Amino acid sequence: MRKLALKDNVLMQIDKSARYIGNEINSIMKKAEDVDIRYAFCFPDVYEIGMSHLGIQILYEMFNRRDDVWCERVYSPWPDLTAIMKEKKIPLFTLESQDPVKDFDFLGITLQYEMCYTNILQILELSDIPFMAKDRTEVHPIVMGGGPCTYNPEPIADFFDIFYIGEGEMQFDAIFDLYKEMKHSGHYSRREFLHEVAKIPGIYVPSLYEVTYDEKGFITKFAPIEEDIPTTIKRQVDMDMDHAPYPKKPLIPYVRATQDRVVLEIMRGCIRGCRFCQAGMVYRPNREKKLSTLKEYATEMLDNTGYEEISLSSLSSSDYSHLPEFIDYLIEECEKRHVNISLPSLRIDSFSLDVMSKVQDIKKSSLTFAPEAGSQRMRNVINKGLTKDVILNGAKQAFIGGWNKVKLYFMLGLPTETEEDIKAIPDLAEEMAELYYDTVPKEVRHGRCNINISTSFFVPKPFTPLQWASMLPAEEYLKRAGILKDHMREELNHKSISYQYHEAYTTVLEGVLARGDRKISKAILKAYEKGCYFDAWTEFFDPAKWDEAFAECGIDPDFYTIRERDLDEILPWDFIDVGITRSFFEREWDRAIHQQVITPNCRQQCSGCGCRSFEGGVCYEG
Amino acid sequence: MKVRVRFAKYGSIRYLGHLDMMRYFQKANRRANLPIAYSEGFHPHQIMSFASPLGVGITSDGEYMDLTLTQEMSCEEIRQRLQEEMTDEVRIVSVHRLKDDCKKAMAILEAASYIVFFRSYEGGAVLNRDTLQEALQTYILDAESVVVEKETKKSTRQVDLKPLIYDIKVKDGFDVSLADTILPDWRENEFLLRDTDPYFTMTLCARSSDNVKPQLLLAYLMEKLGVKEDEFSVGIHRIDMLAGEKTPVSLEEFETIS
Repeated sequence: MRKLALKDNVLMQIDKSARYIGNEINSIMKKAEDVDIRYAFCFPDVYEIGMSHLGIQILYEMFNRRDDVWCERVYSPWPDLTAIMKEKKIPLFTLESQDPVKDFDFLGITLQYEMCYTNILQILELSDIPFMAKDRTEVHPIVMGGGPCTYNPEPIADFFDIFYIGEGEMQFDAIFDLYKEMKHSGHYSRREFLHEVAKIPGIYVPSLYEVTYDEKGFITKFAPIEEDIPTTIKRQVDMDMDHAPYPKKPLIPYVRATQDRVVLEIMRGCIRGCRFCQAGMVYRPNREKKLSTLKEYATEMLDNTGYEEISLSSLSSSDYSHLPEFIDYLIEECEKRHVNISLPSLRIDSFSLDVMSKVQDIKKSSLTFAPEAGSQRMRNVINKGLTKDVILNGAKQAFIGGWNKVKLYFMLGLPTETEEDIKAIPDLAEEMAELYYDTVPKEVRHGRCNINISTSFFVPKPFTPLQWASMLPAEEYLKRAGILKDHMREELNHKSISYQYHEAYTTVLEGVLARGDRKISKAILKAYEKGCYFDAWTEFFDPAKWDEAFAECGIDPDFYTIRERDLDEILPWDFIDVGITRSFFEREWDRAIHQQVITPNCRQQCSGCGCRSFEGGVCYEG
Repeated sequence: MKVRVRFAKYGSIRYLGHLDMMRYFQKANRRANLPIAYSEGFHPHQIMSFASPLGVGITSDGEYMDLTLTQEMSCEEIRQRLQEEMTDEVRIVSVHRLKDDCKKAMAILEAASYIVFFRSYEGGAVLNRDTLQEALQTYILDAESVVVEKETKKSTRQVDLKPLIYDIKVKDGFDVSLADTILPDWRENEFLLRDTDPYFTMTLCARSSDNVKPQLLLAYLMEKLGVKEDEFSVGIHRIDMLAGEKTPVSLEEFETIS
């Protein structure tokens, strides 16, 4: 009988208690006394979201291959359980052993989106670990952060002992070996370990760096406080995708997770270079897995899990060189097994339409286009190479093929955006609707076509060519959404068009957290103390509390959002070397804002971003 | 061929709801490489059906799942293959072949048998065998009717449980052979399963139209005894499910041919 951290009476009064019991198929059980290092891996959101994250599954597999490490998982308890744990003083526990997190050697937290920052504090509080790294002692786990948000870790730097910058596949063995060796030799102290680990490539120990500001709040200096600590931190990249660790026996949650299927990563990186996209930059260079590797993984993972669906994971999947062959293989294999294929969003052309007609019910499925901006000028600014002709041509083929539902994704609030650019969005939808009625004869139509416009507000991210751009006040975002809506209503076929837009206040906060500096951390703590957490969930997000928190900490959020940064300003994330040169970003910023021209993708022509230095991937194709 | 799988569920997996349990078996059936029959269409489903959903928190020795297979296979092989794919908290008790024209387990289900016991906690009522026996006699066995409010999706209605109670007894001295696998789990959670602790065994109607949950009956009895809702807490273990109108037998034996 497994011992559970929560008693029956607690489990019976909370929602979805199976989130907290562990023991899922393919979870890994070891004996605590048999290992040297206990690692608690945390996704700071609810179980169903966290269990859908591929990165943890990869590292869970990789860590547990070591006999001396036991990696376990922990997720954010839902508010119902959080309240009980606080009241009854039940310490946060991992799912496998159900032991308290505070007794572990490491607590690793993956940082996938800024709106989870308050949940980090929830995890620390429930674990009984001090919020601030400086307050932790020898009895506390080393708290590590990793994932996309570490490309600007400064707003949360005070809460972490270590950040790992880059792909986890590379340096964990070195970290574990160092930790183990120091423990065994008796030379371990928290301070000494942090000092040594800071010398491992890709490792950033915030407490060993000092930031100074001028009276206006601009950074004047960012430097290590000791001589043997590196001044820049280099992003870690795994260039051997075919031999990279991959979970062929992924964990299968009992509770239905958001991704309730086999997820197969087909490549990493993107050749496109869209100027707003952080992932497209920080996962460079584009690295494909071999077709033979993917075939082997697909069949093995279906065998090992019994999942009824498989999906492919990558950025811009249409750019994978062997996609047609691989999809043909999957269709054949999956039909035998009664497995569904969940297609990634593909460029709409005759190939993808053919594939979609084979694996989806045309009447129920919809086409997705992501033009990201309505006018060609605006698309040039963001380097989205898609033209109106290509979009309409794809739509026409689809309408002939029997589709009548289309989703269109755009961003509002992009740099240099004018009213004309905004109105071009519903105009494009209108043209598409007209195309439908011109193309599909009345007798074959199943009612109206359905064009759904969806917009999000643009948030500039570190390590993108638009990292210097200004954002807009929340009211201005809403005003722009209003312009779009009003113009849409004037379109001839407005009954065939619908429009949805994202929350504006969340966007502004995300902007502050994405490009903030170390001063922000006290506001995050203040907001948490006021009761903010699960901010990514609209039902819990409370902008008023955040406004109070900023005000009480003397922080002006506009300093981080509504201001175009100068090229000579020291950015909080400048100490990280992602492998892309500063001059490339500056060139791209100029091509975006001033020249407003497209930069060719990596396969058409190398633009000299600097990633050739990784010596592989698309840079060395052919 | 059609088969009926009997399984037992205990330990932490009792916190899985019915839908999650179904999804658990759908994946296990695939991993076990059983030749399961599928429905037609873009999203084919396994042809499987469960006799009756088990509430969250309840352990069981008698859960049933009917499967349709496209190839002949020995029942023992099916059992072994499935068992290999189970977590340590689910046991495949048996697999029996069904007549090809048999009805779904859900349709023939008549009754279910349970053990119901109490948990001790601060502020909880102290219940002994004699008081429970007396209450049972007065308010259920000798009563003309046992009327409770039953909540349905749309409304609440009054139901007389009396004809739906097939058997009910108060006992003490927990019979380990009834459910040895569940004991450590329930004891860990402070349920009273010592020699002197009272508990109920009951067989209740489980027809889909008239399913009686043991907790409903317990709540009725406690109310009559003057024990408030927050003063008692019960643990429930399902022993088996039964079919056949006159003398119900275990689903394991009902219309199975091997």
